[in-house]
Amino acid sequence: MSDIWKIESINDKALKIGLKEGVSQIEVFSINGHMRNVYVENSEIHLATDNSWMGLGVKAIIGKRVGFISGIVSKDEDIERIVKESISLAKISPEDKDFKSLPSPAKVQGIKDIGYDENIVSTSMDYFIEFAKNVVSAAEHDDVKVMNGLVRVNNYTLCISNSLGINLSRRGTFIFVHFLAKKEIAEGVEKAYSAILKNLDPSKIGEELHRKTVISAKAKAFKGAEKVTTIIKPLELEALINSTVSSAASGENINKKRSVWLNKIGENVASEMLTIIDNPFLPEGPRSSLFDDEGVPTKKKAIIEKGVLKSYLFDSYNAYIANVEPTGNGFRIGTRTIETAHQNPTYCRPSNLEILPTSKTLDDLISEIKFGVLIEKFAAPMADPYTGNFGLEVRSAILIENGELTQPIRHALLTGNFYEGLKNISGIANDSRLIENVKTPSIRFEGFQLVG
Amino acid sequence: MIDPSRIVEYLNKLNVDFGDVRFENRLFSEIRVVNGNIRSISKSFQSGISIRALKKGAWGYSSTTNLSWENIKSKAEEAYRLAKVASEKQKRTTKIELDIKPIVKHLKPNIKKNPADISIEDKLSLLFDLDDIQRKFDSRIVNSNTVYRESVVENKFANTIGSDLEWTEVRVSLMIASFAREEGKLQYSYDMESGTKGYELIESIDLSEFGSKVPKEAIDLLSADKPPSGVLTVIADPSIAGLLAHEVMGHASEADEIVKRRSFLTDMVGKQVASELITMVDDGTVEGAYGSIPFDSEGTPSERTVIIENGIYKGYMHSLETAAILGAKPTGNGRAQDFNRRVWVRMRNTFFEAGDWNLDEMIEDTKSGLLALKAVSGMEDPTGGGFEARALMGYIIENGEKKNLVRALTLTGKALEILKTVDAVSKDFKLDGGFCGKGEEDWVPVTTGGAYIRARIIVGGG
Repeated sequence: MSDIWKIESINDKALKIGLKEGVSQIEVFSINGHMRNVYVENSEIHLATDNSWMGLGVKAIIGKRVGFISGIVSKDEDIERIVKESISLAKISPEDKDFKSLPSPAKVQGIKDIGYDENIVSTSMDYFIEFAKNVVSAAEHDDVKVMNGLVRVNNYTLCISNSLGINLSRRGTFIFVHFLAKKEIAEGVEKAYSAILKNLDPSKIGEELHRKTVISAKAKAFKGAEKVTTIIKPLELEALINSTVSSAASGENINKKRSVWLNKIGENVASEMLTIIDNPFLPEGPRSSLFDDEGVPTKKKAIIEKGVLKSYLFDSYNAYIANVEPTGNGFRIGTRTIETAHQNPTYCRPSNLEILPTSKTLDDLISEIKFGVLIEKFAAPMADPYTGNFGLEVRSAILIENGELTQPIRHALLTGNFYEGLKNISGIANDSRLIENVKTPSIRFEGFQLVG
Repeated sequence: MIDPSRIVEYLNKLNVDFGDVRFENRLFSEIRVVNGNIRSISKSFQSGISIRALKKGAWGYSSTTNLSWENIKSKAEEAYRLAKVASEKQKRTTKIELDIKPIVKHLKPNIKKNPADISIEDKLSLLFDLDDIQRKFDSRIVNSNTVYRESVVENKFANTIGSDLEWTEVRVSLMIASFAREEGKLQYSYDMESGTKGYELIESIDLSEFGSKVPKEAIDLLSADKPPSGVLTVIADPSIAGLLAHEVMGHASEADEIVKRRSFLTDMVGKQVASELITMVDDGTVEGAYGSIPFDSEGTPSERTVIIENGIYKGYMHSLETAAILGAKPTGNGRAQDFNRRVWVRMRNTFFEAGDWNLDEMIEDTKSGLLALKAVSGMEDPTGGGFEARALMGYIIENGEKKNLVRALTLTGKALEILKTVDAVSKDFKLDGGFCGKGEEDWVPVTTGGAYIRARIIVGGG
């Protein structure tokens, strides 16, 4: 076998072995992954890497007994080993009374290989090393120095098959860029994501990194404790949205009764300004695909429309439990790496989340604020998925006074509840950016507390 | 069978300045039981090889899972080519002259019961018991989760200096999480036991105690108060004190941050940075601890690295490269997540060593304060030295007694200011296993924890 694996034939072989061994049903997921990285350390190119692998995940079902095994395929015999181990595991597993069936085939329509850019695959590492150098040169002036940088280039082919007749394959690409710079004791971080090479401009990334680092260096410690109008920019908003919205809308969390949005379809869960779409057809999105990682067709749908909760996200397992149709949200692939895709069982996850922008600019949102704060960087932006509570260390922000940006600040804590925050949105801008799998503009919230 | 020495010979022919090869065979298995039902049983086999080449100060690195000799040769050439391209595209200003000696050692893991030898039925029976205990504790427990994991990683290593190593790392863990719901309120708690041990660790757990404590905490949290805010006297439990040791003092003591002068601890060796009650180590040799390793991913033997001794800052953790640049000795902290990932300077078991106090004495001795328990998350801040930890729960202390339960705490402050106020360190000592990322990824098994410490810390809600 060469590094260019014929994954359809791997799936075919695995299915045949499984059926011959007498399984009731079998699902095979294979992925031929290729990851290249350029690492920058201390302003210099430090390391370039090239990794390739062929991963296989097999779910064997005997009655209601389920066994899932994943592994790396280094040679042909590994396929047989993984299938047979999954069958052995199914045989000794107790029945999973919630398991009904793997998904059945359904018609998949649309542009094949959405989320795939041939240019990414054909571009050599020399280009990406140059790309990283260009980020550094655009960022480094006025005593700003790049500490770390990463340009990660992923491309893959995956194939999903099951014994009910699903047999689908697709290609995907995406690039993840992450740079961190320092000026005096202050730091700035900039990230960029896209499945399309031409969307990424190293000079722009470097310039934004420079801007953030300089603002952070001018910051003074915030003193006081007050309720503030808060604008959170896309880079910091993504993890807050993914940790809450993705969790609360998860069909698994609904079934387990641990979602705050349990039994709330049709109810207002957010400000009427807010519409969040699960959009699997976003050309630049890392989870863009016509079908999910179980082979169920994906569809574009509102999770929240004008503040009203419209839908939950179901993989097939949880859809059967809830007695609804799967929504095409059984995903295994990550949003910045695909290394563990074959090892993961499917989970109820959004494809790409798109928050609809308005016509207002970020400046418009700022100009309407008497006293508030524009968040540039949290230490680690995450809210408790189950309760929505958060207390986030502000590493860099700018105060807003009488409609204007004034003093950069740090050493403050922003506290509140993000689910409550969604109900108290007072403005949405038009500056949408894709961060991980979330395309969002800056959003203005009321009611959070800033503590110095 | 893969022979890393043969690949190293080929690297030498390519005229690398230095090179090493690591073959990993990784077996991982996980059982998840949710609400008394199996959610998943999974196993994973991963075998692959990583090849590193150093040329004129730049590293090239390649990895593959296709272990045919032709493919491995082409991957070795790719590692060399990438190092060459990187060094030619940009002349590096830092010189890397490695000063290491060859080691030849083949080690067996120190475990009593190989987890792979225990039947699935036995494991499931234990997990179902534990899951039942959680749900039967109270009708308000709406969701119980019990997760068992085991991993066995076989390593074979060789480098161009002549080292030839083999070792195996075995880890097991058992985690539970219970969710309680009442009148629209939702709370949860969790606990975990883990170690570089065999299945004997799991069998030594008192299931009844382990399985009841967590749902009780979740139920209690339903009626817990909001925490007080301000600068308080806080007794931080090992999970929270460990976060301070790991996230702030630990990450800032990783020598790659010192090379870049990014760390707030740059040039601090020999200075007093904490109360003299504080001794902090990163010890990769603690028997059975989750972060213990015989060798790091560069073949350097593990050791006990002292970072703070009686309040005085002693030094940094090193990879081969940072030791070469700073003229120090490698400390066995060059670790990679797996064969697909690069080596960074990483921690192992990082903690404040035990002191003289009993926890009860610490509480009795506190007039007004807070006992903070169960860290949920924290974040590194190597530049600013800021501490931020979120904790699940705590108890108000008044006149030496534990009073009301409070929920969702955030603890912050400047690490050096907090450490200088430490006036009591407990004999009670616990290490918690987990995974640590560098920046936002590259996860390696570590432990944090250690002793309870009492200090002045800013507390807020959240």
